[in-house]
Amino acid sequence: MSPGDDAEAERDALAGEYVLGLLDAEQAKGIERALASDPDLAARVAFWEARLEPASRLAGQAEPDRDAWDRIAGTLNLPGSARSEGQVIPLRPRKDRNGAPTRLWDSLPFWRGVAALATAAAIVLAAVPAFRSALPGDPAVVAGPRTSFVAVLQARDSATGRDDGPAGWVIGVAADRTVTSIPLGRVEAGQGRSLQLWTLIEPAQGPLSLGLVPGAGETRLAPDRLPAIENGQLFEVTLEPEGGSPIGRPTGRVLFIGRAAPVGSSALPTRTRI
Amino acid sequence: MRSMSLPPTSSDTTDCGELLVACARGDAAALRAIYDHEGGRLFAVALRIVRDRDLAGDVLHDAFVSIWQKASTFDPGRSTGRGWLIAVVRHQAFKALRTSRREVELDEAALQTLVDDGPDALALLSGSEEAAALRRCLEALDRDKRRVILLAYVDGLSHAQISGHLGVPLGTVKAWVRRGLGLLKGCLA
Repeated sequence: MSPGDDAEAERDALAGEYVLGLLDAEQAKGIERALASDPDLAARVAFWEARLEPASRLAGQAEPDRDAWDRIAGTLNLPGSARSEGQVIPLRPRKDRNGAPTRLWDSLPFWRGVAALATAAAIVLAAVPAFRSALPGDPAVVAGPRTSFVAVLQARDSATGRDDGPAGWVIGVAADRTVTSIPLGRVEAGQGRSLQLWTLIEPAQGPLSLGLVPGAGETRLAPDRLPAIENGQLFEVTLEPEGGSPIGRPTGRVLFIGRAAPVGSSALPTRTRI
Repeated sequence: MRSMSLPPTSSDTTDCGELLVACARGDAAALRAIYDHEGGRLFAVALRIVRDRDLAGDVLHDAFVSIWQKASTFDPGRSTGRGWLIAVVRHQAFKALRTSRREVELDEAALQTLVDDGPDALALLSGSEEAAALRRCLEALDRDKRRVILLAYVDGLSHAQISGHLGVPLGTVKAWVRRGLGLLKGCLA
């Protein structure tokens, strides 16, 4: 075997180990970086991907959750998904007793949710002066943009994936985009874990970290953390390794999730710019 | 609302490559068609690797987001549609495994479900030329090399996990994988 053959075999083996998932994170990242500029390596990886693919049948059959497609379509804002039609949907749509997705417009729990949101918003406004100061008519903000937002995050049931658990966290966004985080009660992250707050502005870019948040008490985050806010914007609190997600996107379980609604004179579902 | 149920087996006649090209043009119906035809299989692949339904659901979600966003990088001249799809879901599954910091030790339940590399299981590799070729080439390997490759590919086991499971030294597992890949390459090329 010539040295050239050895080098070829080595590249094939490396490409094969990559496709088998045997490389560690560091090595795999190295391969992925190289793929863009190394067509020979890319061709070897494509060879293994294509040739081993039939063995994926040995993984057997499994059926995803019934709402799996709705989650995908919602995230991508695809035509026909509820979100593209201007409705507010939970990230995982609620289901009826038989597991069939319900139409939100006909859904009593949905409207109860809306009522609960309004009530919670009123409580927040009464309780937190920072939010009240952003209300229209307040002399302090007459000159500035008048809209502020509140998101009431509901607990996600990890067993069912439903997002209609009790309200557990309130996020307020003042007119200057100062974010206030208020857990309703005490949330224990557990040893070696942190709670991290995220928002979804541009679905294509994925959730944006707003930082770690304590599981009790009111916390203010600097205004420069939040680049934009609009009606229906998603906020969620996830359980992450201590110090936060190592990869800049959520890795752990979603504990609380909800969407922002405007507070003030204009509660119409229009896109709001600030 | 359409039914979310999937056919029990995915058809190998679906041209995933064509659907991916349509996705790259922004055709959302093509993504839905991929989901309808391949969603069950992709979910099974993810579930087998991460061994947790919730996590596998997240992997499937992230994989489809990625398929939609990266469809334009699919090159029909170089990859097969289904091979590319499986690669995307496997990539997401391994990423989830790494970030969820799974234990290295396999529990008893996991050991029960590991891939069967016997002749009956390999009989599933049929229905297309590619599948028949892979079966023939896997059967040509000795059992050790066939097993390590399938435990990695189907069950997502690491070198260390395979070493623990088979009770052979890590270096031996690595050598079997490399030797097995070399023989497969010669047989499949």
